[in-house]
Amino acid sequence: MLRRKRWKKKTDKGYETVEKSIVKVFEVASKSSDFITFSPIKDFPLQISYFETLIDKTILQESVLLFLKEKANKIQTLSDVVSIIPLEGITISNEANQVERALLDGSIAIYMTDNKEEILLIELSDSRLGQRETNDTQNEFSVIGPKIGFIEDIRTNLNLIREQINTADLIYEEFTVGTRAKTKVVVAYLEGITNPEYVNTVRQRISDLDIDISFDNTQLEQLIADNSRTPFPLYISTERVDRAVESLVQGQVVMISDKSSYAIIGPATLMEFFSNPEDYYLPSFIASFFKLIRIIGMIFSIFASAFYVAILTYHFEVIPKDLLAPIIFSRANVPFPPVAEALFLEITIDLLREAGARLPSKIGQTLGIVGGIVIGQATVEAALTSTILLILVALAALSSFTTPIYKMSNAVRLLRYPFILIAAIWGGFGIFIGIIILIVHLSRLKSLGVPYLLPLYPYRKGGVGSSFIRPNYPAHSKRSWYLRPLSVIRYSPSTDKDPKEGLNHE
Amino acid sequence: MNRKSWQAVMKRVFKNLLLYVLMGCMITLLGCSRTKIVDDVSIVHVFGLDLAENGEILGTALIPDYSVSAEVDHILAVEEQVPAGVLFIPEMSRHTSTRVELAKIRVIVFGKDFAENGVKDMVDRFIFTPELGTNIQIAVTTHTANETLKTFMQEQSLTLIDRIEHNMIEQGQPQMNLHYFLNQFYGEGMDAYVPMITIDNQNRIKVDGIGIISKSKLKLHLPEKETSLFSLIKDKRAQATYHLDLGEKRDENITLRGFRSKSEWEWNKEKDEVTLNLKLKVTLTQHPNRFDLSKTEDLQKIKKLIAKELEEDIHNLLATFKENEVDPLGIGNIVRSKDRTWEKESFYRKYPDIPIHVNVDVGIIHSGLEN
Repeated sequence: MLRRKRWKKKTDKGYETVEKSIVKVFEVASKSSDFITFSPIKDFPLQISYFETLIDKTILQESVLLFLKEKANKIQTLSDVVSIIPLEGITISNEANQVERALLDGSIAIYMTDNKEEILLIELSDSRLGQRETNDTQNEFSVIGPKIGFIEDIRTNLNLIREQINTADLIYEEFTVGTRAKTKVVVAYLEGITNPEYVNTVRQRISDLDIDISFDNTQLEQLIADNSRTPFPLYISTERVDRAVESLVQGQVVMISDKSSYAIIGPATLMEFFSNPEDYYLPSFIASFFKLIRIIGMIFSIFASAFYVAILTYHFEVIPKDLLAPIIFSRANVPFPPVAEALFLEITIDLLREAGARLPSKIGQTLGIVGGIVIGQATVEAALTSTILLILVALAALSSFTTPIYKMSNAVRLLRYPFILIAAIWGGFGIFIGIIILIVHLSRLKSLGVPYLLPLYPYRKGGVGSSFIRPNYPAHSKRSWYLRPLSVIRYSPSTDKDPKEGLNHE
Repeated sequence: MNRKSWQAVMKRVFKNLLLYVLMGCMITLLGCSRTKIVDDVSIVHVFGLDLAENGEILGTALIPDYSVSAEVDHILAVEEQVPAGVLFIPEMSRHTSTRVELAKIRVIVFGKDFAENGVKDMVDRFIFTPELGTNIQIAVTTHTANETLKTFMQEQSLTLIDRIEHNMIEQGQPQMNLHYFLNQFYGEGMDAYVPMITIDNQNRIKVDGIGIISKSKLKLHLPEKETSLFSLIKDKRAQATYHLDLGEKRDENITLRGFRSKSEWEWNKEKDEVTLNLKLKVTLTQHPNRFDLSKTEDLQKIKKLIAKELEEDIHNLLATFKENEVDPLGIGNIVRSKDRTWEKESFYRKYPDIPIHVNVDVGIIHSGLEN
């Protein structure tokens, strides 16, 4: 919605339309202390200006200054400089906007002191400046398979993808986002496979987008989402290269933006959030089991404490006789209704999680002890909660962490609270009302115009099985046709040529 | 905005409004129900009904108090004498610190006197008590229910249901629960049967055959052996152990265990007679050594012997039923299903004189091993 509202207002208030002169550009820039202007050659009206925080100083000294000083006597005009400096990416410009952009992208400007109308721009940006060197995945781990993740540099990220999909069909389309600060966003897709509708939609949304500064891809994701009033992520945000590559091959669109270690993948469907690249490195039986565990974990995580509250408050008759005694005994000294103790524990768990995410890793261990042992043990002894609930809530928290995509696991964690509250008010009936509302909400969501619940609703033949399990490779040779890729068949497995007779077949 | 699109918008708004109103009604019109937090209810597990001296009903409820300990060692027995069954909850609530809930009742025990005086008014109440599940047991005790429950309480357990049900699944008790009971109790041409419990001489509760309730009154207490035979006829998969005594010597015994039984009833209208074809598949757990079961002729011999003995015993069983004018096998219902002109009164008037032929076909699935 943000996108659309802004789009209407955009017409007259662009920042780009303000007329600037080159002199003005230099004047404004020189207010910054990191903007350097100097004359490299003594008694010659040639000046160099640049932001020293953006450029690679070694190249400046070794390839620019060295040659300039050596051949200083040959320089008469700016075009002479072009022939002297052995670097590519040299342009001569007389447009203020272009000069300003180039300076901020890490170019140096060379010009005659008396003529600021014509500027020579040499691109010397050092994009890896201040970037981390390691690119291990930080949040999406897998035991086997590649550990390479994206980092906060777009060129590295694009390189990682291009290295994996080394075909000319992989198209990168570059956009800039942001009116105050320009951030590069690259939309990647496979020509001949990805449905152009998706690319068009992304293209249109990104170019319609009006935001002053885009910090991260995960922010961009929300800005171009189909529905911004939902806890569910409508795009998969991943830092795993293999996941992004797999999605490209499946015919999805991948968006990568500068200074962001997350790639976003669209169109995404709900069930995709529960698959993991590691599924494809494990035998399909094992992978399917793990995938089912994740799905069951998600369901358990949403409903465990809600059902606890509903059953203990309204439906005691469904508790098996042998379980009545431990439940009643552990609740006997708890003065609060089940909803209060459930909320108390859930909030405790979320406090622990939030504190764990914010704490420096060295203090993290302390938190584990404080949270896990002290609080758990003490709340039961202090009769604030029952032991059964403690187990349930801990299990529910544990199972919510099995969801591979962090944004989805947060959504799942949040959903618990409305369910607990509605269970406290209407019991089991309330939970089912909640489920209905949840399903209605999910079925109304869309990702890049594709229904979020595909292929479950609207039902699409042939997709339901692979939503819950990971089919083996011979059975998985086609892309999901309901995502409308231009080419459905990925590969055609050859039949097995194992001889059916002989000693090895006894 | 032109008229047409305005109408479309109104239509959509109205549609949404209708949805919200419907949802609002659904939520608000349901009203509020009181919370029944699990540790704030007195959960009745076993309920007993007796006839008091002045004709009122004496109810006994076993309510465990788990808040003291997680073991079943604090059982509260609440007794109350009321003129009508509906008054039990208000009267019992005076004794308990939390509200009395019937939803967890697993067994309802009728005292002997109560059962013999007619149980119809109480059975009617079961139907009007939606908290009661139909997967519960109705049992009749040979003593008063009060005495039985108090004896049971001393065992410090609430597993009366398990004691009855595992005998139904693995031993000679015929299958029964409230659901079947209601069908047989109100159904035409059949009489209901319920498990009987008794206090044995060591002061323990023991399952002891079945009781047959006819015209709402307990008419007959069938002992264990006949109950096993009854369950072989009635149930499809009765695992009843049945013992045939062939002679004085210790060896002269045949013990068989049911595996699968199929009873087919035939009604001959002209001759006015009923035939029961009983096909039994049994395990022979014990047989006299004079039969060598690896020989075909011996096998035939023992099959014939068992069939003959069983036919005789079934005849005796049927004679007992006729004598007491009870029909737990539902012969009336069987005849009714084959005869359009069936009438309850006239059928049961001639019921004791209807000849019933029994043909038993025994198949032995294996022998020797205990199970």
